[in-house]
Amino acid sequence: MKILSITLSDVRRFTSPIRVDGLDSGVNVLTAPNESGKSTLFDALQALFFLPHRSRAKEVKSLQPHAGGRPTVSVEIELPAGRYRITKRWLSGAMAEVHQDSRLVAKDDAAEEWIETQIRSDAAGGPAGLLWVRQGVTALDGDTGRAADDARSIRRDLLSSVAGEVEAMTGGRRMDRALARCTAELNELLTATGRPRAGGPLKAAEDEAADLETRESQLEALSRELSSAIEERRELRREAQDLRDPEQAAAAEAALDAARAALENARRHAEKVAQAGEKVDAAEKALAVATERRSAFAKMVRARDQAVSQAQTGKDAEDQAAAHLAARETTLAEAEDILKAARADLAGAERQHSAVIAAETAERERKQRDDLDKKLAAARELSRTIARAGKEARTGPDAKAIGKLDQALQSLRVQEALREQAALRVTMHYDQPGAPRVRLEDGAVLENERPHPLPAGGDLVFDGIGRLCIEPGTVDGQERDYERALEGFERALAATGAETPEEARRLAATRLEAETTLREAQATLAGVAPDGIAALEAARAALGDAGEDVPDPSAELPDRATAERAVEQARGAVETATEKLEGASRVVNEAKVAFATATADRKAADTRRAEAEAALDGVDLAAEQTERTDAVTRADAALAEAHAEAKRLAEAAPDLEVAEAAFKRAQSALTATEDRLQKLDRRLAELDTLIRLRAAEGVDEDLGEVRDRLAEARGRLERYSFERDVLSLLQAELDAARISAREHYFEPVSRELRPLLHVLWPDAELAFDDETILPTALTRNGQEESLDVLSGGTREQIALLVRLAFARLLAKSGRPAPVILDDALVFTDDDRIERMFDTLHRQAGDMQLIIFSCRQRAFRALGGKVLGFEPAKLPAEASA
Amino acid sequence: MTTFRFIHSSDLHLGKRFARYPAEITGRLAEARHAALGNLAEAARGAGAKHVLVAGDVFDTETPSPGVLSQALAAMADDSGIDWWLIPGNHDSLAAEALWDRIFAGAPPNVHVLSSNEPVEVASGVWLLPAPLPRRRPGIDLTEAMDNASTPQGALRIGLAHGPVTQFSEEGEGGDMVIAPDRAVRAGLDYLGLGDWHGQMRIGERTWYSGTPEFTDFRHSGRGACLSVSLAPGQPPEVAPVEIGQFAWRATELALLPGEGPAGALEALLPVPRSARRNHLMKIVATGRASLAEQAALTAAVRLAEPEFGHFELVTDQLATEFDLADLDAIDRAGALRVAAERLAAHAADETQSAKVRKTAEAALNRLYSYLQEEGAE
Repeated sequence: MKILSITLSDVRRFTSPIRVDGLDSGVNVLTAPNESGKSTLFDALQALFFLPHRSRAKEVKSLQPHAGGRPTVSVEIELPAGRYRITKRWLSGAMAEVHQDSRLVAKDDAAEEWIETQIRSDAAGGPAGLLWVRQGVTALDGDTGRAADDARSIRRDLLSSVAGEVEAMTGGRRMDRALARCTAELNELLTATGRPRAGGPLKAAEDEAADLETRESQLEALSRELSSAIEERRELRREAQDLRDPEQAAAAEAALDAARAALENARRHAEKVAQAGEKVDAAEKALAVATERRSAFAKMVRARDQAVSQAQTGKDAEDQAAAHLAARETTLAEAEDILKAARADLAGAERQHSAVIAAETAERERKQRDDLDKKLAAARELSRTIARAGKEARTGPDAKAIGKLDQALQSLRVQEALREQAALRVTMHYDQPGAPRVRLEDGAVLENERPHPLPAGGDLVFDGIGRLCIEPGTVDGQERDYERALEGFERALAATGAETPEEARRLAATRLEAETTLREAQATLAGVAPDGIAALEAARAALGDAGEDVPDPSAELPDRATAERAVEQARGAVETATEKLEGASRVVNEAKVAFATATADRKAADTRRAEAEAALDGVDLAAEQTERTDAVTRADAALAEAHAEAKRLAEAAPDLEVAEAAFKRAQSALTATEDRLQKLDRRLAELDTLIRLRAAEGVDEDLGEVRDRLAEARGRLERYSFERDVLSLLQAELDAARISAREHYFEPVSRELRPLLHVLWPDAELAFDDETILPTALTRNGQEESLDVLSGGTREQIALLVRLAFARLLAKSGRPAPVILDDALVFTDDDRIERMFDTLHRQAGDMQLIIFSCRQRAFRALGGKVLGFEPAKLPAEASA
Repeated sequence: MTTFRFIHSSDLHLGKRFARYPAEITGRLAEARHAALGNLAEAARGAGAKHVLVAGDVFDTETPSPGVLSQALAAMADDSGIDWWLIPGNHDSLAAEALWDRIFAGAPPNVHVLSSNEPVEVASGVWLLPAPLPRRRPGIDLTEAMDNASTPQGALRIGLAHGPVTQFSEEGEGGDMVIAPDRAVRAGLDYLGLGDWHGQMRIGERTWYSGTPEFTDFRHSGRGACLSVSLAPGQPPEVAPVEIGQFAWRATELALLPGEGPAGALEALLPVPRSARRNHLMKIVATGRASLAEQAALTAAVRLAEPEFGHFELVTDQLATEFDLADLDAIDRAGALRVAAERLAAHAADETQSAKVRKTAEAALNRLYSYLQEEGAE
């Protein structure tokens, strides 16, 4: 299809008919300033092909001029079958017609169908209207407002149109809806992770089946419990009936009687055996008594003999102890005497030692008194020296006054020198060595060639001639400095109290000497009397004068060390004597204790001997011994006889334990039967209750119902599982087919796109997203960049190239479609735009490119057919 | 001796709940089972009989609820001129002591439970030889005792038993307790009334299964019935079926071939008048092959007919899909939808795949077809 001309009337700003004519194959360019109607032309073309003439949608109304009117668009196109004119009018008097020359080909709905066939895909695939922005995003909005601008921007985004048309190739909206419905139905069954969805029918069926299985298990358990209870009750009833059988009861009673008789017989015999045993015990005790009596008598005889011997031994020991005590008491008396003598020696030595100490003390005090007297005399003299020197140290200039004087004198000297340097000088140059000399006022002669200062002026006396009076002018700065220095000097000198600096220095030296004397006297006094003279006087008063009790120095005394050694020796002798006395005393005490013990032992032995002898007093020892031995022999014979009888009875005894066990068994058999019957009765009552309750609950009915419901639930689960499998398979197949179609479709697009991309970027490749069908990334120099991060210019270039690739693809298939670009290269720089223009011309070939742009200057270089708006008349059919 | 007339029935299965069916029909089915007691009494009166012999499975379970039991006894007590002779079957064997204890305690005078195989004179000169089941699976042929059961000379001997005569059984069990088919001859019985098989069946001249008065599932078609029996000494019994069931059950095959109109074929199978369909339970088992369009038409026809019935089931497991170019074209002539449809069709026709895989693929294709058809219809 090729567009030849476009005519608009009552479309937005074009209230009068205008026409764009002369469109042809190749590049067609309409450049005009903003708001000149390019976008209106674009939207009108869109409307002609995509909006039914009866539509009153807002997109249609947006075409209407503000003042109202009937938007009318007429387009001449060229198809293989010839030239056609399509005319549409919307709103009032809506119409759609297709003419071939003057022949009406189709009208109204037929005309819409005719248009549809031109822009829709044919059976061979490939939409003829590929390069139109798809209907879903052809929002023909108003010309004003930011939102409208945004919408146009989106509409002009060629990638969107590409995405839409590719979707059409991959199944289109039918595929979308089928897949969406399949997915929606599957989503009712499954979660995104493929698990049964909570609240969904599959999960509900699973849960119900699980719940019913649980319920079935519970009811089966109850049913089994009931069956078991019935079976148990039947068994228990049979057992109870057997236990209550009269014949069995009588046999059990007879068995018990027989066991009881056997047990009583066994018990009687057991008593006889016990009695025989008791007799054995009695005989054994009698034998023990006889044997004990015999042993006791022999023991008494031995005890008496032992007591006699012990009494004698005690007497001997007492005597020895008495002798030992007497000897030790003698030793004690001797020790007491030695101690007494040692103590007397110690007293003498201590007295002599005290005399030595007293003599030493008197001598030390005498020396202290002499020392203090000397110090007092010296201190008093120093005190007087200090008073004198202190007075002198306060007289005459101090170092500070001298310092100031020196400083003032120095300043004065400087000023004098400066003054002299600046002063008036006179120098006499005599003509003759012997010429009369000029004199100064004071008579001094001016030497030849020697300058002589006259700072204050003066008179020069020229003998024989007269006087030359020289007077300096007014006082200058130098003179004032000199006078200030002089005043300073005089004040400093006055401060010293001297007439001359020399005197001042002499007075200062005197003062300095007095200060030195004062410091030395004070230092000496501090050494002699650190606490002051009063303290020295107090110390001296405390010592007093020598008394009358001074030891006689003539007396003969040993030295102090000798006296101390004598005292020490005397003390050692006392301690030795004391220790010996204490040892003798301990020995005496021990001897006393030993003696007392021996005495007590002797008395006890005497008592025992007397008792033992008294016990046997008057007894015939031999006769008694014989009698007791015979008694033992008799008891032994009686014991042997008792043992023989007991053995005989034990051997003849029936087994009592066996008899008792038999009796207990017979007795317990009867008791057990009774107990068992009681238990059976209780259990039967329980079972009756249980069976009655369970039977009344209709457990088996419930179980039957649950099983039926479970079968139904399982069937439902199976159906939903099958449904899940069916939907999963369908979804997978639809997805796979669509992806495969996309890949199949994109391969030739990529093939066409590649050389176009390489015009701008030599090695560039474009990647598409399977889901969105949009280019997602551009790979350049091996670097992949998301489309989102590319510049606006790059993105619009890619969009245009992709669109051209599709157009080329269509042209190759023999179905060329016009490519319409509305301000498609807004952001592209001058360099790129040149290359894009090359690309457009290269691609154009037999295709038709219709390009709208407001960039008049830039697009001037594009070349191609230049279009423009021209006043026109509407076709006859649209004029009605 | 005059002719002795009685009603032979069995397998009432009172208390059965039919939970596997939709809730809308279960109550009606349960109620119909209870109504069978009144229908049997009515049949007896219609036949001039005063006895109803029930050959086992009066109750569906060993522990029917008190309501089911009490209402059953009350219904049997309604006409005191009719005696009910009951033997326990495998569903309500004597092992269900609780059940029978309650019946013994509360049964009206005209209800007789035969709990042993001792012959009982039910009318003058008419002796009943019962073979009650002591437990669900007795393991022996209980009718063998009838051979030696003594009855007065010249008396009519009627055997009453429950169980299979061959390997068939309603429960698929009982191989070790098969009743000898010639028991009537061996035991000199004038009639042997059997229960267990829910359909009515003549085993021999004197041996019959009465069938259930109300069917419980689709294994038997039609309505439940009982037998009206007349016995006269030395004469073969006169046995007449009496249809008393409220609900008609029908499971039928709908064999389809491509090109046949499934809607018409279905309609031909449905009962008339349509007003009677309310008491019908239908199960249509579609077999053969049908195109996607035909399957869609069948589904639509079933949707139309279904509400008229007490219950309606369409089973398509055995119906294969016949794919043709028109079906696939209807999905899409080309493109991804067409590719997906062709792949599914290939899976469905792939004999190397399991039946489940093929069936899944077939259903998926069917679903895709439906989506697009419905979209087109909108």
